[in-house]
Amino acid sequence: MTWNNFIFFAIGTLTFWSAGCYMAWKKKYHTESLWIFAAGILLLLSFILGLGIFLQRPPIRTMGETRLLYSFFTAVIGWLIFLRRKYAWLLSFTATIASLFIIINLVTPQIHNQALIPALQSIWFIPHVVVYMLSYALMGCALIFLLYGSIFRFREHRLQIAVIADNLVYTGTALLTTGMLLGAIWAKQAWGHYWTWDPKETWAALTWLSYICYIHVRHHYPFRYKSATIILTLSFLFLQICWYGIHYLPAAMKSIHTYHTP
Amino acid sequence: MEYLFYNDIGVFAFPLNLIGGLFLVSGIWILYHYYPESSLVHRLTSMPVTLSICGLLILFLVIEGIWGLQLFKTWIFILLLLSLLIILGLVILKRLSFSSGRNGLFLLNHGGLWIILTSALLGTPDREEYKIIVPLGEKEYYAVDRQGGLHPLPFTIRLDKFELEYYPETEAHIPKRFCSTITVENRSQTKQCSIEVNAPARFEGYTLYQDGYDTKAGSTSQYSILLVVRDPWIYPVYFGIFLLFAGAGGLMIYGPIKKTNL
Repeated sequence: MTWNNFIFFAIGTLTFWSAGCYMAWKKKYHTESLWIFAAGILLLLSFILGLGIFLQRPPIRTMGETRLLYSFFTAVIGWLIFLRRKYAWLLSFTATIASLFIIINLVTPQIHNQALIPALQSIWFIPHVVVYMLSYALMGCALIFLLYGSIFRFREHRLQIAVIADNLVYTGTALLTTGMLLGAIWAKQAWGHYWTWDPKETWAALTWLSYICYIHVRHHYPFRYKSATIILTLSFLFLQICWYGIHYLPAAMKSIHTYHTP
Repeated sequence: MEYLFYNDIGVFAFPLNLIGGLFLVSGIWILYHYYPESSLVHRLTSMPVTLSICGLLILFLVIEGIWGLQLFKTWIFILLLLSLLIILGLVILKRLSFSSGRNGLFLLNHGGLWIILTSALLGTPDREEYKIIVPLGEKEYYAVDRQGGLHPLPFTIRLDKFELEYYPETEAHIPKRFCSTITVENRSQTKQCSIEVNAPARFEGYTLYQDGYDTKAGSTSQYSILLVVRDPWIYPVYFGIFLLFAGAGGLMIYGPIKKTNL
């Protein structure tokens, strides 16, 4: 399973997801839409696992590989929420985001690099990256939720929407915290210090702080939906910079976290 | 601009940092217990102040994150951190009771964070980090500290063997594994161990990390570069990390407080 096969999996997954989303809008096909959407997710998962087997290392190292994980987790979260809450619009939105990252992978060249440098050969590698990508997916879904709530301003649903967004952000923040702490413990094992102010670490810390601010604002000013939305949007922007934006910043020259691929 | 940066934090080495820490804690304690109803305490533990200090920190970290100027070495940063520790300390004291699970969760998260940050701040002057180039077959004990000064270690290190394996079939010479087998010796004991990235060795309170080697010579490198680190305050940091891990877990399981009276 190489990136050359990806186009087939991508087409399959996107087709299943489109069909699933379409059927989701027709309430009587709730169960069928769940099955079809899930098939798309499983197809993507099989590509990820196959790629890992081919590379003989976990496919979590390059930028393209992290996009795969992000797509997978976003779709899973959307599916779970649709299962529980039946919001067809959320399924469509999360499928769109997940598909966007799949398409980005299709149009950017991907490399097959089996090499895992010694620094990455650690038990902390997989948990650190996977926890972060799951957190990123949760934060993306939370933002979709809140933006939808604020744009459409369905007053009677606003509270519900905010509560769901809060739940996603709480879980996402817990994972963000876990990811940071795992990274710190790993750094101590590898480099002798748990915090070296690497640009990635700096942005991770400020992203974390930003989501903490969201939690505090939501807790103390529960009706200031506009402020909450602004803070959540800003936090997600910081998250994107942390994930791949640092590559373009002046500080990037000094980072050990730069991905080795486009 | 140089005056913004502190030059020698080593000046606060033990016992000055511990004394400073005790002053900080007792100061917060006295402030809270003798003047609990004062407007100062009320203001410092209020949400606007919490959000302000977080906001200031975020702004500071954004500037550092974009330009990488090492702003964490300035007095401004120390001031920001101390302000955060005072505010956070007061907030914790205000809720220092184990009356409910929710409160316990609050203490785990806020207390864990406080312990990590305080231990990191106080521990920095006591942290020793040296780089040493150990040639094959010779005993070496002169290392270089982070400021570039020469520093003799209380033990000798001899490189017995240096191994380096590359990934096959790559022109790029990507290392697969590199490992130094060394003999560390002082007057009372001798120890042989092997060190690689992610697998450091310990000797008499110091931890020895594999840092680098002669990259031009590759597997025939005649020397190994090691990092020798002593960080006594890592133990309270680990304790804080443990608390924060537990707090994050609780956050994930329990989520936001369900407001029933809206």
